[in-house]
Amino acid sequence: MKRMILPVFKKYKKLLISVMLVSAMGCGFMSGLSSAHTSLQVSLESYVEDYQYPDVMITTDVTDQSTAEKLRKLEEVSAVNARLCGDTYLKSPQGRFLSVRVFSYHPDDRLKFHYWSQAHDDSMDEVLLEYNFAEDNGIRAGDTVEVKVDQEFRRYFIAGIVTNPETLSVQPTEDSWGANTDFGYAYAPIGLLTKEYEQKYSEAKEELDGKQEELDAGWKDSEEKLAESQQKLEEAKKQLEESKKKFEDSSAEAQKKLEQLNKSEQELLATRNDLNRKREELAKTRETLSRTLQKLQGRELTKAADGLQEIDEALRTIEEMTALAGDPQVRRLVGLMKAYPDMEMADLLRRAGSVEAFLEKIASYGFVYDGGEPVSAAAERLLLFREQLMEDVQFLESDAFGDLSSLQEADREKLTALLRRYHLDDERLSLEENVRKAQRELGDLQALIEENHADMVIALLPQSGEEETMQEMLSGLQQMTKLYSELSGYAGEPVKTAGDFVRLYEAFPEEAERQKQELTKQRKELLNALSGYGVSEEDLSDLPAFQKAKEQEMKEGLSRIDSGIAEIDSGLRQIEEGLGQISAGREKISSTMETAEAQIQSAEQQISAGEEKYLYVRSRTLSKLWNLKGELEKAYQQLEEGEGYDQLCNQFLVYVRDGTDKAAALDRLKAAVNEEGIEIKSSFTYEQSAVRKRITDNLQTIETLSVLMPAVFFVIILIVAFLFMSLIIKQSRREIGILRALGFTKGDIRALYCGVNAVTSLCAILIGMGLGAVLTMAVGAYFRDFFPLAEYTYRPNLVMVLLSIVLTIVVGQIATLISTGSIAGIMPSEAMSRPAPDTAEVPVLLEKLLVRASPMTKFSVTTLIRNKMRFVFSVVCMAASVMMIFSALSFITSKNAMLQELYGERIRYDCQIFFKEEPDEAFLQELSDLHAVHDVQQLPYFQSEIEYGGKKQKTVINAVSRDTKLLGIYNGDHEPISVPEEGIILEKHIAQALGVGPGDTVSVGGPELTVAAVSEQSISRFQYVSYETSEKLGTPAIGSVICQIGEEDEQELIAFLVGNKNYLYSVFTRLALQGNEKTFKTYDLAAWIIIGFAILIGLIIVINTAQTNLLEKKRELCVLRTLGFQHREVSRKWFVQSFLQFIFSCLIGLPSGILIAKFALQHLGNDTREYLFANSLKEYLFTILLVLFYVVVSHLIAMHAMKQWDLVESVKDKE
Amino acid sequence: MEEKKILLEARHLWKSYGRGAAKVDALADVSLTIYDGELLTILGSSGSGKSTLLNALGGMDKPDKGEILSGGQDLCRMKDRALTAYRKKNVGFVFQSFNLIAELTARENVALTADTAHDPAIIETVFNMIGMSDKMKNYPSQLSGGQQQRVSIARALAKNPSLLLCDEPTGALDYETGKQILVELERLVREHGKTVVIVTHTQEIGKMSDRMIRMRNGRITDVTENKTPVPAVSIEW
Repeated sequence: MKRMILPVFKKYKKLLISVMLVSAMGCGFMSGLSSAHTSLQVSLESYVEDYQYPDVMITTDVTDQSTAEKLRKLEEVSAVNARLCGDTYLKSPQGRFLSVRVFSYHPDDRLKFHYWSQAHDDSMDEVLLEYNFAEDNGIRAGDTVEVKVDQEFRRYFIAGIVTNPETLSVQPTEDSWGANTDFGYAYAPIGLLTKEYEQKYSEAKEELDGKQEELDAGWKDSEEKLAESQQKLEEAKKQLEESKKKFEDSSAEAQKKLEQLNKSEQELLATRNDLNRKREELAKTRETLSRTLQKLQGRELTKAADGLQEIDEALRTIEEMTALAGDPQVRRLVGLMKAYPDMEMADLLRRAGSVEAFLEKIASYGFVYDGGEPVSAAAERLLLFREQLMEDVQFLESDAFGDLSSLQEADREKLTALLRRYHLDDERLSLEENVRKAQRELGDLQALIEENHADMVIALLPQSGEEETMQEMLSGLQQMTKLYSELSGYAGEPVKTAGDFVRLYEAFPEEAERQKQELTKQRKELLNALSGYGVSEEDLSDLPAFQKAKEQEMKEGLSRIDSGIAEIDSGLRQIEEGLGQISAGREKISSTMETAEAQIQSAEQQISAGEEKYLYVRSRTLSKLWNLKGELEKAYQQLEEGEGYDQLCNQFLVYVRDGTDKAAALDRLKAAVNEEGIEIKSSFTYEQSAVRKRITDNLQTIETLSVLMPAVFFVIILIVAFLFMSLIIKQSRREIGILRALGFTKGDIRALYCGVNAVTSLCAILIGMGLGAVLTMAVGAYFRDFFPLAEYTYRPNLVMVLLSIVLTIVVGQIATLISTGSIAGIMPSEAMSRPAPDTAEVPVLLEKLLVRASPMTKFSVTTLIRNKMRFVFSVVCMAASVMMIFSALSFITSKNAMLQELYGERIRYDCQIFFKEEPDEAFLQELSDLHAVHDVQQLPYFQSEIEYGGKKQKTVINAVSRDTKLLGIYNGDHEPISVPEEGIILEKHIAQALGVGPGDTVSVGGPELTVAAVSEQSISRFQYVSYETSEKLGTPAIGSVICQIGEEDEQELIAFLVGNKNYLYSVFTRLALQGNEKTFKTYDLAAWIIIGFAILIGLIIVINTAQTNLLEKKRELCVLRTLGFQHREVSRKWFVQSFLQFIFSCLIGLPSGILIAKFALQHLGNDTREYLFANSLKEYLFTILLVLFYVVVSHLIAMHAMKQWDLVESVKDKE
Repeated sequence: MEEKKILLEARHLWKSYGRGAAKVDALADVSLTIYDGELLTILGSSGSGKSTLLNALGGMDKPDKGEILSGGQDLCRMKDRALTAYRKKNVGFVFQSFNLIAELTARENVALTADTAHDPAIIETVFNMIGMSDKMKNYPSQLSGGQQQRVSIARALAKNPSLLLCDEPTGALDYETGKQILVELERLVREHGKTVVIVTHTQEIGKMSDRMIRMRNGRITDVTENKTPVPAVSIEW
């Protein structure tokens, strides 16, 4: 069997190399990255140990060596180092203000430094700087920096850049004192820290001595000044008494004069009243006269006269119309008109007007009428005239008049008679001319008669009575026309038809009577009104004369009244003058008296105020002096006791004996310190320390990323390797059949392929271990420089290494055993023949979709459907790539999303400034006025204990403005929470620890507050209340202010703040973010390694999958080429299949990737950080496009290989 | 006498494999003319170069020297693309091992070439020609060797080629089935006027052809014109 191993290797070398490569990558990745974690863990622990980080650290107020001595005597303690520490500012060589925490050090201290670089200069005091801080700020050994000591910056020499385990804890926890986050560590001889306080002591002592002297001198001076004031007061009192006596004498005399003046005034006032009354009467009379005169002169009288005239005129008109209406002719005509009610009045009147003219016209042609002739006779004649005219015209129009010379005699005579009858026989004209004239004029006359006028005359005339003459009829027509005109005007609107006129006419008598009565009444009223002005109807007849006479009369009366009033006014003026004199005299007396009285009162008040002031000043001066004396004594006492050094701490670095419980030892140590009456600022064991936390956090992150993820990926890779191995054995079906036919047992077959797999796995393990070692060392080198660590120990993670070896072998063997088992189980003859393909039908819908597709596309889809196992294999392998790449990317995006959420959404301010006490309004105003600062808000810190149902949680509460835009507070659903006026917003973990939810009431250090909401914060753990609610919480522990500033303005702000005594430190969001990003560097490294690995292994898997598929289908593809399909067509067919596999792999790979990422991110989180899956469209696109790129690359490789194939050989059946 | 129309003419073809002492001449100065409508057999033992010659004539392989003229164009000078087009348009292949696509039914296998041909035959007609109308929906694995070979012939005929090249078409078949295939090929020539070249090591098969070419060590040793071809059905071997 051993002989068979090599041929199998030869035949499947490409596939086996693929399996080996994939397994090696997975094996190396898992063992390498997990060993990097183990190495880091070992290195960090030995770092802490080698540099002798203390077992317990206690930070207290400043004390002296006696406390350290006391601690050293405790039985648990093996050694104690005491040191001073304090926060201050350092000015870098580049001129930037940098926050530093300075620790005093001594060569005998047990906490050692590792020097990265050293320099020496005896001429200056020296400082050691922590490595990362120095690196970040470009400070090197040998540089000179300025350190703020005692409110001024002094020059120091950087003697060394150092590192020790302590410097790992640049991110303090709640156990460390203070809360500043962006400071660096500096180590200086104790002098730097005590210098400030030594100087302060001497200055304070000097100041106190000076104050004592000032107090003594002030005391003496004050007593002298008080005695002098008292003497001046007594003198003033005496002078006042004398003035009072003089004033009393003067006031009696003035009183007499006043009485006389009052009497004279009464008399004058009576006279003035009398004159005023008379004057009023005269003025009234004058007004009446003036009004009458105005009326007489005005238009009213003229208007009244005109009105009377109009009334008379109207009455006359009515009389005339009545007369007209009563005219018998008119009445008769109206009677006739009744027969033509619809006739237009305008037409009727026009005809009536033209009757006389018509008669005159025809008179010139021989029709003569007499005015006295009865109308009936005239009518009869008129009819005859017309008849004759008709006949004559007809005669004249006959043909006989074409040629007069041929006219017969009878006709000539008739013609002559005719011309004569109409007076047309003009002898001056020829006959012919006369005939033509007669023809023309008689024609015109006929036309005239036939016109309406003549018709009417002819119609009217017969209806007239026998008794009526033509003259009367014509007169009647005129009268009626006149009446129509009057009545139309009277009616106020045009009378259109005869019927309308008749109705108006018949109603007129009654209406005329009514109008007449009305006008008569108005006339009477007008006359009555005029008589009121003394005007009679006769006067109106000559109105101007009447007006003139009356005017003259009135003017004379007015003139008399005016002179009377002038006299009265003169008398009144005299009286006013007299009264004015009296008033002036009285005022003068009163004024004199008041002045004197006020002077006396003022003097009295001055003396009284002087007395009060004297007593006040005396008591105040004495009290102030006593207070000063007290303060001075207290200050002396404080100075001697060393109080006021609140910015300076003592730290005790305690090393306990082996086997001692550190927590119990800490309790004993704290008790010992408390006995001394010294306040403990913070205390912790190494396990509770920030250093330990930093190490644990880093290790936990790296552990998850370097152990969990490689393990998950390794499992995926093993699945792929399993599939590859299964495929190899499936392709060996024919060979297995032959071997079985030759008599090899199932066991032999298994042994053969297990051997092949074992050799492959062993090669993979060897390569994998090599890759793992390289990875461990590369990552280790990075970690060593990052922390930095002087020594780095490489330690393999034996569990993971062994696991990767075992799994690589076991999975390959299982795949081999399962696959060979299934093939070796079938009969050799069947195994040797080609396996029957999947004969699945193409779904009808798909078939319809493919109707118009090219034959090659149809062929691609059909063969894909009928080769499900191959399809599933390819999709699973590709999906594994998609899954790994996508889940790997999520580590970076989720971390970035977390930082973005914290520094983009929750913390919207640029800077937070901390103060010992809440800054006052004036300072805030000054801060706001700075060019660098915008939108300042207070954010005081309250340290409190929240209690609920017996559970207690110590925490920090922030008071914020309710309308703050500088802070974002969100709940678990990422919805913003607004700060309520009443109540408290609790952070999720605190709320969970207390077991409270919204609506519950908690006790916050005494006051009871309702939980308004529960917030979710990824890093910080603050509770929030409004300013209003914060008033219940007492005085804040630390004053804090948040504000917006520009990056370039940070230094301007610090320069402003460092000079302020209330200022503690400031945290810039930008720097905090930078710091946070730095703490993520190990995370980033691991994440990028995972991404890089996923991208690489993804490429290998996709290419290998394509190659495997290609090898299997080589013969088929060559047959196609032989049948005449172009390379391009076959390539397209191949790509269609690859693309369909790619789409399905994305559909499976992306959701699986999300699940893996979520699973891993869940394990990444810790107490202070929570990672939420956050991938954007970018990552989806990146993954899809990258894998598509792989598909394209693998396709190009495959197609290149296909070009090299020998068609003849490929289509042959080969053994 | 009616002059025969030349379909393909090969002149002085050389093809060798290996180098130095191991060098083997698969074709050594081979010249050959194939006439339209004839049934030609190329006979020879294994390694005589007959299959190499067939592949060269079908545009599947290029000789090292010489020329193969088809319609005035030299196949030896054609680029891959043109050679593929030549195969697609002019040549139908029948392989000893059938080379059907296992995932496609008989009809789909035939349709694959028919759908892309310039002047395809009607698939049903082709199946009728080979007497396989009732097996069109079967997969190759559901067919016997002879049936598969017939489908292979149908696939070659579907694109209506002028030349049908058959490489040991009976090699993988039993006697009876092989004979049936030969009958089919003979019918294509006699009834449908196709030109068929059969490569075989079975001397008896040569009797059914119009011409027989014998090869040995890469050379044509004999060309025999067969005035009285024996019907395929009468051949025994």
